[in-house]
Amino acid sequence: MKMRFFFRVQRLLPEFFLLGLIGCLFQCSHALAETLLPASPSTGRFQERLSFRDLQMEKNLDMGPDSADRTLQVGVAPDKLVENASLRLLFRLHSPFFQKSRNTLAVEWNGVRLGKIAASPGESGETLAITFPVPAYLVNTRNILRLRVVRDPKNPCALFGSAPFVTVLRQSSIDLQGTRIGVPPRLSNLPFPFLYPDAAGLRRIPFVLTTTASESLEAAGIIASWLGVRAPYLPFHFPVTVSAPLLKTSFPPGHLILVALGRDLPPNWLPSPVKGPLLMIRPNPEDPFSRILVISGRTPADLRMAALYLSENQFSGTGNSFSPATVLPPPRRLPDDAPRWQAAGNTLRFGWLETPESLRVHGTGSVRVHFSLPPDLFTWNHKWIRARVRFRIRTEKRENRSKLDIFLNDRYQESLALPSSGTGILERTVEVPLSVSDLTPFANRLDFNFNFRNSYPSVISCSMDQNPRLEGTILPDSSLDLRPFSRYTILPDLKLFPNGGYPFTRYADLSGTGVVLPDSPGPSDIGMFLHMMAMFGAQTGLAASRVRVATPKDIESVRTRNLILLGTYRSNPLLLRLTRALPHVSNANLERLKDENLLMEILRWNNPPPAHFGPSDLVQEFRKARNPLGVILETVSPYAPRRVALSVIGVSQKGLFAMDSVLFDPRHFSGIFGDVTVVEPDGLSSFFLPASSFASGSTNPLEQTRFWFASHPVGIVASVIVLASVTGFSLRTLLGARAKNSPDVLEEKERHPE
Amino acid sequence: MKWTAKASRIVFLVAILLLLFFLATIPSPDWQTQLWLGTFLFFAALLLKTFLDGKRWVILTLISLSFFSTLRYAWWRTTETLGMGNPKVHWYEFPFIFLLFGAELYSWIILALGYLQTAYPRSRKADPLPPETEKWPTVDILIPTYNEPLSVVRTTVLAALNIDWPPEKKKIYLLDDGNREEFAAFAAQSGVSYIARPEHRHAKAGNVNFALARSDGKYVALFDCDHVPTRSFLQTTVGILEKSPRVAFVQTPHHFYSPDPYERNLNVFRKLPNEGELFYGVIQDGNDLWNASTFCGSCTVLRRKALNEIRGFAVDTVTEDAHTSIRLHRLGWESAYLNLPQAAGLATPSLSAHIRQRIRWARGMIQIFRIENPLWARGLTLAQKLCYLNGMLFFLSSLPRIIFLTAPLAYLYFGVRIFDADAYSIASYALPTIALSLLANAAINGRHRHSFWNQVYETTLAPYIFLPTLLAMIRPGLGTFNVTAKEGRIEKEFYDRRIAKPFIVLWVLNLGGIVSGILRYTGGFGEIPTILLTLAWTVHNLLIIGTTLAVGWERAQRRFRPRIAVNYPVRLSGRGGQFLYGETEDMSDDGVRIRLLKSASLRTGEEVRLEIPFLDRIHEFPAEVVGMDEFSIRLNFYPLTLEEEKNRVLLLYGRADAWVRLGLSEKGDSILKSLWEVALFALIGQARALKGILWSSGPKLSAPPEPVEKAS
Repeated sequence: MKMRFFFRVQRLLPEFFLLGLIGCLFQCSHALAETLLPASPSTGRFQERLSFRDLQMEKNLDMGPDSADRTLQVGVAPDKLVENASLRLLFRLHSPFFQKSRNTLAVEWNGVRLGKIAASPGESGETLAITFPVPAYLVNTRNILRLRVVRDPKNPCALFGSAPFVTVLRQSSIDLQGTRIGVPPRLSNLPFPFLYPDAAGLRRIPFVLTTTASESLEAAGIIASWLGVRAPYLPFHFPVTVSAPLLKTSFPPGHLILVALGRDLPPNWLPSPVKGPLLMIRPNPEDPFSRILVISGRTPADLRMAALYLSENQFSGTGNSFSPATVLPPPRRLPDDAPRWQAAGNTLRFGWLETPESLRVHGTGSVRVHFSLPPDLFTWNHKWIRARVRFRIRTEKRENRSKLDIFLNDRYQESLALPSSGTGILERTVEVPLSVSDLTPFANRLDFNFNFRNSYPSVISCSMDQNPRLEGTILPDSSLDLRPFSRYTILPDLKLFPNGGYPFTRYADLSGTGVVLPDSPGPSDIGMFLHMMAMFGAQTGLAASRVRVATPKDIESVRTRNLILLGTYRSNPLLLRLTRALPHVSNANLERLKDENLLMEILRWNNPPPAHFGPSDLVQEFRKARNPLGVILETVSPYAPRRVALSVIGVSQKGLFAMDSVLFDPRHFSGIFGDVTVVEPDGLSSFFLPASSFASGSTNPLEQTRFWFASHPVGIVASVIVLASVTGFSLRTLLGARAKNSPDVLEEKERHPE
Repeated sequence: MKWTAKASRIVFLVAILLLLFFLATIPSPDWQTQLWLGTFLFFAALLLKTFLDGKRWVILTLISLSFFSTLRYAWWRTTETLGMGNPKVHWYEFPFIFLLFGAELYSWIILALGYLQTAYPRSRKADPLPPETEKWPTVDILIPTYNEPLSVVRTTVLAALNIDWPPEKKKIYLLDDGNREEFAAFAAQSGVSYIARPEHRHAKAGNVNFALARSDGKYVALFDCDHVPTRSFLQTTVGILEKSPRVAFVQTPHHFYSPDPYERNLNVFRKLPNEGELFYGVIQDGNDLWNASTFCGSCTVLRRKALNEIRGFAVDTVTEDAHTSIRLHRLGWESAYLNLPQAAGLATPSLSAHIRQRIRWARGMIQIFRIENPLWARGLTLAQKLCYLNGMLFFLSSLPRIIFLTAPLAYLYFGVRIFDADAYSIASYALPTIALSLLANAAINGRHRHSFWNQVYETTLAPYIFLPTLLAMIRPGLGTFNVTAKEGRIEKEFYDRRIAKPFIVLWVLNLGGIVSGILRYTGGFGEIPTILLTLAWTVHNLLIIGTTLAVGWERAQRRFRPRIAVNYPVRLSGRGGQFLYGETEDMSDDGVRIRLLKSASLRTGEEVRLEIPFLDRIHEFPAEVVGMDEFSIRLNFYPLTLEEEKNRVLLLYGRADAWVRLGLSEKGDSILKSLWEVALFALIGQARALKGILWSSGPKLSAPPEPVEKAS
């Protein structure tokens, strides 16, 4: 009875709208917890708090005399005029035992010193706070916040003085207040103001849909992936509202994207009825300082066309609307040709990855090189990936203890002594082996820390020279050698999903991907879908122009594709079929994950190696899983051979909604692997199942066999036992025959008479 | 077997080996998986051994499993743990890493060659001689001596006289390189030929070659002067030579009726296998399958024709025996090994004498390695080359052994890495490999060598054979032939501090390592798993060193000649004409102990006549009562006539089955029990070492004199 009531309620649009709004509010409050103070949309004022975490500072920062400068980029959208700004630094001072010198931490904003923190005895361990006002005239759209250690000028070479003396906490924040500017609605400025890639913090872009037809959802997906292409490496949130007809209350404050059929648009928005695909920017009726990007058309297919046109074209001029006459879909992509994936079997030059300016530092500092490897890069049985690093330095004679420290994804790789160049420039080429185990399947970062130091014994720390005449450059023809690696992987493998979106992104235009949403998708389903598309766009560098969305009823249209199924057990019946291997095949059972009795069922899965979690770890992990939000499971698709099906199941719409923020947080990516991941509010637990799999890509057959055995050590054990037994029997026969028929016991007297 | 069938089987085996190699080279994704894999294989092997022990196919399967595990470990060690190209390994760590790797490489080679040698012991049976004794061939029995006392030599000569062989077809030669008059007189008295050469070049080999030119028997039986043959010696061995005309020699085991230093000093005589039992019980028998059993210088019958072809015994090295067999094998002659003790000798009387003997062996084998390296020697089959190679490589074990005993100290003292791998990975690869090799070796060696004891034996020799082998490697011509001491008495037990010095140093170093490890652990200096692993390794080393220290405690040995357990029915007749019946419990050259059937009372000093029936006669001996209780009586022989003495030798040493299976331990090998024994001896050894260092007085040895060196 309750169920029937639930479905009936879901079909009622106003109530659905209400649900969406509640969902949105929930999501907003969740997202704003760290980044936003309540905004006042209609007054034209804004107030924003950006924590260092929003500024991509992943962990607390220990700073000592040997530390390189740490810079944080603080972008402010051009439609915000900052009038008041302040920096609130939270920090802890270290034990003064080794701190005999008076080093200070200087804080600079766009090269102007805001203040400093000095090491002082008696305050070690406590969390301290200091607020530096930032002059409003210094706040631009792109700002650099630099933390720099300044050594005690009286005692630059203190014994053990290189130990960190302060930890800057990632809860530190920047408060911005000011007025909003109503920017002109120009298509040529897109994606601004809906997305300003340099702006700090979470990208929160509300979507409003008037229909959940497949093409409409595809259009929204294409737009989301296009936004992802424009703002890589940044987290998104897509609060979704489904509302038809559009009411005044349908529009949340702020810039938003509206995907609506022409008939659903308010009549006063357009001078004439919509006849085909339409792109338009217009003010948000609820917030005069905000804009709405309207994707419209007469039919749902027109919506898709309009989105496609937007993702493929640049606009010029000052127009705020455009009706493309014909929209030709882009040519179909080949497998594994995503623009942002580096080609395997080749060398990867740093000059292709970063601008020459970003490869250079003046004084002590870091050069960062970001590179994206194909997610299916077959690194198995390789210990090193060779980097040929060419660098140029300009040092002075006294910096002969200078060094270049190399890190891969924050893990130390090598330290090279930098020779003194005298007064000139010196170039060097070195081969650096980077540990393959420190690579991630997709996004990677190399850090080259140039530390310019003078010549004192190592126990005595001396100032790293911040002399701007000192210079370190990683030359653009430095490269990573990807030649030994092929493209091969075993699917399903959840590890590849967050790290590269594989195998869904194997065709960068997602022509091999189908998404199955519930018949009546909720805001959480759609939000999750959009976030996924944005992530795929960021990963491939290409909009999802050929993605297909289907409902469980018309699964036939996407059956030959790799499938992503979203929803709850109630809303998407296909999920039940695909998750039969799980011990929880229903909502009730999913909730029973809290119950320890279920552990016994899970243990019967008999985790085969290689398992990151053995049975005892599994027990521990499930004991922690008190409040699962949902489960993601990747299996071989039952609809087509050599395809996978990714099931994203929420305990409820609420659970699905909350999964969105956990699942796409890069900090959690390493926790997603194997065949199944249980998503909890604070983290993830992943497990391997004895499920069927298939190989994707190609490598030589011998290597494939070796890899199979490595993945199935039970195969090694069984083979060895059989082979050893066969050897035992054969040798017994062979040697036994030799012992019996040895020539010396043959009657040889006639042949060898004495 | 037709050659095609044989070839196809060999191809099949090679294919299996390639598959095993392929599987061995597949890396494990993590240490847990490797541990799981290794443990599973170990338990499979354990099940096989527990329920199907003794079957040859099971032993060969265990060998295959151990071979696979070792191959896998070796591959991982070579490809993953040497730190090549790893910037995190410091330059000064490479020597340590490679030293340990070299030691391990050596142990893998030795293990593999050992498996080859012992895969299928041939267990040859004696071939019968023709029933008509007139068809039996002529045999010359050669007994070389240099400086040994007559008391030792005369027993051997008399035993040779006792050998059952037609007298007209047996000639005995006493080859006295010491030109001693009493030896000539004894030879004349006993009716054996006496040969003394005017020049004494090339030690024992020269002495025997001199005699070869002056004798003409079809076969030559050779005995060291302390190796006393049984009466059946020739009947059991010559049949093989007669049946197989390409066999150059038949070697029999060297059995020792006196305890060696390990057995005596640890009081494990007949409880643990004799130190030489592995070689004579398993390796020689296994070599026989490959036609690679070696001539061991004594207890051998050789074909004169074969010796003539190689111009007599080899004289270029101090181990003329092994060298001679290489030369015979190179000419295509075959060898035979009969694993039936048909002679017995005296073990080395002290640890120092034992070490001196092994130094000579080690030097000699390395000399051969340099002069006539079997790997390059033409005429040898591949299997022969490998068997000889293993025999020689064994004596290069000193450096690897010292490395194994000290390697963990590099980390514990200085934090220097000896592996470029984490402790978990090392343990997950190494422990199952070690366990499987222990299991396979326990199955192969069984009662011939218990687990862990080879480490004790190697450790005892390691500090002493290192320099001689190194010198022999550099200059093979250096050094002299030293005669092994065979008889000696230790009046009072003492700790041989001089010989134990290097072990005390190793002991102190390892103890320091333990302390350093504990400090590292408590202070957090280093990774805990690495500290624990190296500590466990050091504890193991301490056990081995501790047991070696225990052997340094020389127990008192007041008899020149040991008592030998023999059981004969006896009748005693006293002066009063009464007869007492009983059974001998043990006997020596000097006296006998008898358990009487009824209680009797005889006075100490009373003269009795001892009658022992054996074969077709009753042997009588005059004797004096030296002690008795109600059912037991102890007699000392009065001076015996030569005939009586010959009879006593026959009774004591001459029975065909006198030494059969005596070298084996009473029980088979149990790895854990063996570890427990070694641990116990290690504790005793460390206590002994402390006591010996602090309180023990010096050695009190008595005649016979220490052997002297003889210029080669």
